[in-house]
Amino acid sequence: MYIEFCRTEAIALLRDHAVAVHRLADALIKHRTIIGGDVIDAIIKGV
Amino acid sequence: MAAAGGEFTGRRSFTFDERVAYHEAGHALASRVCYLPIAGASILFTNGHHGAVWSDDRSDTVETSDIVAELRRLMPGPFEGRDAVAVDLLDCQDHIVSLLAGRESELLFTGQALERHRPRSRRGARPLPS
Repeated sequence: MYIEFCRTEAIALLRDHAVAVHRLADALIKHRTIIGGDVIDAIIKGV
Repeated sequence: MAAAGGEFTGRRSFTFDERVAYHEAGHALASRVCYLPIAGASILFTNGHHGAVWSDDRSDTVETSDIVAELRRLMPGPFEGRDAVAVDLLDCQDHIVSLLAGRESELLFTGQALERHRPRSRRGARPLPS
């Protein structure tokens, strides 16, 4: 029950930030590895 | 795509790479939205995994057994409030959401999920620590 609650939260979160997930996935396919939390944050923000 | 011992034996297709990318992107996005630190992400096959998201903070390496142990410590007794452990409970929940986001991201954005290397079943599950 608790895990299902967390799963629902994860899905809602992914839907809300779908554009950022696409950006991250595209960057991973292109570069294979992304180093640096700041780089990942910039991709999420679309910078 | 992976042998029983976790060694990768085949060549990955673009579709497979894309699925791994969405899996890792899901972990990374959920972690950052929950303010969990991450230091990198990869879709290269390493240490028996098709991809990874990692943190610089070694204490932040989370296994399911860590979460179970932490949750067990945080469960209140009869008539005990949760105020004292509210932040720790939320931290546990953030980690669980982040862990689940990988597979859910694959399902949401590619319509399929990667097969597990080692099938998990209730029969093969270890009992919780007492």
